[in-house]
Amino acid sequence: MLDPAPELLPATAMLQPLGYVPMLSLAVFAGQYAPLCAALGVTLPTSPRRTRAAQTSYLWSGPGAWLVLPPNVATSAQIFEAAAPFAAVTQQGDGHFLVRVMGPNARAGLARLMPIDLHENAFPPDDVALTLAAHIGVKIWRESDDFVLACFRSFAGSLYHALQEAFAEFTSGA
Amino acid sequence: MRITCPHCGQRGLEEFLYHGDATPQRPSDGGATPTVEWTDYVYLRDNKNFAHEELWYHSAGCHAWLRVTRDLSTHEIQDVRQA
Amino acid sequence: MSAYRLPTGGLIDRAQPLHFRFDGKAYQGYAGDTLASALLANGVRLMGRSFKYHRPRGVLSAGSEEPNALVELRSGAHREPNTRATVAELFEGLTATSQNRYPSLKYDILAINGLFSPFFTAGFYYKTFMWPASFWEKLYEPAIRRAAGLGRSAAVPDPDVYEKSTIFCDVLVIGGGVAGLEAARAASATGGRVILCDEGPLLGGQALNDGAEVDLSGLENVTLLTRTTVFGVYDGGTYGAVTRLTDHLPSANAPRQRMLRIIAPRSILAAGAIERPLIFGNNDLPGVMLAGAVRAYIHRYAVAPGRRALLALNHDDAAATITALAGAGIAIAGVIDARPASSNFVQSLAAQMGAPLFSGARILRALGRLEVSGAEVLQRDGATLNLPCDLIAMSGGCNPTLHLTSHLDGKPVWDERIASFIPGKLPPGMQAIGACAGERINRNILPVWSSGRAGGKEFVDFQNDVTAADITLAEQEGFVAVEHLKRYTTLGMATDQGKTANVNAIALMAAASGQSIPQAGTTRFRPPYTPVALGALAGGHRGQQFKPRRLTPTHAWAAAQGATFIETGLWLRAQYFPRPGEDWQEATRREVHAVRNAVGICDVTTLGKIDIQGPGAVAFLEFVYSNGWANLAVGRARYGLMLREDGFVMDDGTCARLGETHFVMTTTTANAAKVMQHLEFCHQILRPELDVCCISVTDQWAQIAIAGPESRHVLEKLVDAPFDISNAAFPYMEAASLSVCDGTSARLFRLSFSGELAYELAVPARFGDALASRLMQAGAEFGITPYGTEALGVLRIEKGHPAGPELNGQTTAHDLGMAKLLSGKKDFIGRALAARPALTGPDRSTLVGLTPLDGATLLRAGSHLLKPGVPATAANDEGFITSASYSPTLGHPIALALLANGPARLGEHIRVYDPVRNGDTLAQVVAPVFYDPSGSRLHA
Repeated sequence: MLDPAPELLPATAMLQPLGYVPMLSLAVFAGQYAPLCAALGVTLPTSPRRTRAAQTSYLWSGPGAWLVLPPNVATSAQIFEAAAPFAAVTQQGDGHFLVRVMGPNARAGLARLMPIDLHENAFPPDDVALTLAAHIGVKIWRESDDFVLACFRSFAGSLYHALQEAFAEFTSGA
Repeated sequence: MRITCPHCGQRGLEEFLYHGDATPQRPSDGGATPTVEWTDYVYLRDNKNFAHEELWYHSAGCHAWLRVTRDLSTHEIQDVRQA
Repeated sequence: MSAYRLPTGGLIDRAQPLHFRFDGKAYQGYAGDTLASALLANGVRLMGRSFKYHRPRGVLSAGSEEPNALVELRSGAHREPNTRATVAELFEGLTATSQNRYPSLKYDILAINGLFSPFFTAGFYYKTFMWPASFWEKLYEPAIRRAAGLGRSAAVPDPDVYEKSTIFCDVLVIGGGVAGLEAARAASATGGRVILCDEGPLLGGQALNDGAEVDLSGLENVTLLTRTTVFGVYDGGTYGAVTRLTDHLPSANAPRQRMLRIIAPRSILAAGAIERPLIFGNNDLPGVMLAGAVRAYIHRYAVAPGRRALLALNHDDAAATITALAGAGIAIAGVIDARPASSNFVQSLAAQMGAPLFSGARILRALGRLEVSGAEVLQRDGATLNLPCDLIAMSGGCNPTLHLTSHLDGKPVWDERIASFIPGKLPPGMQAIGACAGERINRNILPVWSSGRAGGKEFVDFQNDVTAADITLAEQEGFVAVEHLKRYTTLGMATDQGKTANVNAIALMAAASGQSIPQAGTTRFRPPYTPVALGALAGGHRGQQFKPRRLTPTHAWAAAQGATFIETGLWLRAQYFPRPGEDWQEATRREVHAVRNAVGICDVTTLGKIDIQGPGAVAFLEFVYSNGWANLAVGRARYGLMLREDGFVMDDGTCARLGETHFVMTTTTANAAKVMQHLEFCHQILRPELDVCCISVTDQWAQIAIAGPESRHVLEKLVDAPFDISNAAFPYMEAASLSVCDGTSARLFRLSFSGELAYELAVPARFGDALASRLMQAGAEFGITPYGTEALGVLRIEKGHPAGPELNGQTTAHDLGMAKLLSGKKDFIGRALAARPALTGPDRSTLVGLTPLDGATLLRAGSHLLKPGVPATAANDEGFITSASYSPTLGHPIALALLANGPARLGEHIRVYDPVRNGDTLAQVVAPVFYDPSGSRLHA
């Protein structure tokens, strides 16, 4: 087996690159929403929300489309097989870079990069949004008090740099 | 300018790409010959100064194509729906 | 303590003295001073020279509407021109320089302009510098450039850091005066998110200038943003604002300014009102100030702007200046009330303070040379009187600050009762309150617009040196409409946008042209309300952060190999891999040679990859591509041509069938996003009945091209058994999923852009780096070489493959020799209009090859093609070179070009004309394939 590339982006108190996470994309075929849900054992969200079934997260990513985050490669393969008759499925784990944004200043820092309202009332836990951060397309969702951002892998360096700059003010001793 | 995507909610202009007037309909004759219907479809547009339907693509969001009713003189957006 | 500083009072901190320099001289002020107040406290009244006539000027106001006291703040890279001294907060070590004067403020050579003023009237630019025409370039323009402009910006990059942020609220309150504070208090009491912005450092607005108490209670839940100007109103409840974070500090390790985009469904405009000057001769002398400014300097900054004052007014509210002057120990030489019967309020105040009151009187002109020394007053009975003074406080009334209300095209309306404009149609969601809605201002006003007699220049727009006579002249010359008046006289332009000038000007123009003021109307106000630094608008998007960068999966590996990178859209791609001592040409030639004779690898991840699945996949591809797909077998790939609906080529690529209803489409790097948008359009709008899904997998797969006669030998070492990679089992254009390197899942495509035996191997992106290393290891014995975009380009030009320069949006399938890819059997995007006779006729510029006749002269892309011997004119232009290169394989330069009726002219000699780069040579027209025309090497 080939070795995966090393993770080079340094974590900070507020920013944590998540490394490789197995991910799938699902796009349901016409009229197959109910069979797909049945096959996966989950009611897939039909609005920008995150649903969890067992340890797998299903994130709405467009009309009839979802991003799936299974806990491990084995579960990912099971989901792939179960969904394939009802939806277009592709691997997306390598295609994305994920970073966790944490701490009391998360919203203030993200406000510098993102054009959407992340206030508690406007973006409650389990909300998902497809939008931009520093001109880079991102999916953002909440995991309790943290935010997780996902962008295409090739943008990882640029997105992380933008995050570091936006959060520089909150980094003690900077 | 802000557009309320029916899926994602109200978003800024930078998330969308403008396509143009939604009124022209693609001729259904298969396109074997370049008729006037075809050149009109591709090139001819009314120069409007009132509310009309136009097509926008939520490029930085959910990738939905949207039919937006917008008044071109006041910029007021009256309706947005999935195309 | 300086000469004019009052012993007590003011909002300054006398425990914090600050030292500053103006025009090289050292002074002292206090924390809380502005540069203007500190200068006045030190008795400095001359602060600038006017734009056109270089007249001596001092401060007119105490706010951001200041037209006169424009200084250069700081120095070097931080230098900021046209800074209004009235809003520049004093800090320790501040240095400021006056502008627009030579050699000094006091002795300005160009004051001589004043003598020539009859020639410098409005619109003089349109009447002079016309003759002789030849003088324009050599004399007039250089002279005008030297004399023109106001202020000098730093000529080096701005070293400051700026930020941007998007913030949301339920109510945005614009203006932190009493009305705004109350509105914010009320709005937050209902529980919504409230933001309040004020352009100054302190909350309180006009109350601060009048020495009144300000109630700051009940604001705990309001986000208070001071030093924040809301500069624009935009569609959709969007507001632009800028916060000056550190402009008031000597230096800071922090962003200088933050631009805010505020999204607020509701806003409350409480922006107050701006006083307007009275119009009389020499009303621009230092020492002539707005009455409200005089009160501000006294109450807020504890500065006496003079020792003996005249107060000229036409309404009750300015009379508070009487109390202020008396309280500061300034003698009042007279109160000049334009109203024939002064109100009881003014009469009793004047009597109380012992100030002589002249009712029904007007100042005709101010007297003095470098500063005011007195005024000539016209009394009610017609007699004139000279009153000595060193300060004139004038007020013609207040104008509601309604600029923001007209950013979305609302026209202000004239309110006769207050003789000023109030907001008309408001932007959606906005409400106007307080003085900016015309409340409690200009009580008992009698509007006066001119002195009645011309005596000395009567200024209307101080910043642009526009006088009342200029307005009369504009009317005489036919520039009556206010928008014409503005452009012809420049009134209302530049940094203050006529804040103290517009209403007076409109009134004068109305009178001159016999219209009412409502008929004359206002010009349209546009953002920004006050100047905004471009740095703030850019925020962090400068230099390398101007746009995001995309890195390929093998980037780190390529960098380790010493690659030089090139930007391709947002991507960084390896351009060439120089060995020590090689330049780009040597490296490129070596890489090309290696691919043609051994084997090379190149990262091609950047080409868009779109996964297409579903029962409707084939029908969908048939619709978006011009050629056919139904008969493509599973496990095969095919070249596809995509047109725009107008029949021109949009993009090309290969598409591989991995399953009955599963395809992977590739696009060019540049068009990946555009093609995705196009596919979504075709599906959602045009063919919604097709059951098909498209998703981008560009970043999911690292894709590496392995090209050259030895490429199969290299791959044999990586491919896991039992996969058969022989020519028979895996022929040209075959596609398959497989595993490589002991268990890494992969996809293999036998495609060739170079024209050699070649493959593209895709692995999940996290293995891209490792795959490159493994390939290099496996290929070492064959002389494997990495190659970059430079060599990639040379190889494809040698093979005549159209790429970006040929797919320029103006070429058709016919032009590129691909007419046979236009199916005659089905509807597809672009089918109808591609068949237009004009797009298929013989005079179309079509693809040919060129070689220099002398076998050596380099041909350049962009060169024009002409028949030899005809004049080089546009009419004789027959085409141009799209791509060109030296061919290491053939040993001479080659080019691809679009030439009128190209294919019929093979063998012809054509002139290659490149006047911009001094190129002029002859070339031979050849077929657009220079290497292996039969394609035999592809099938090896």
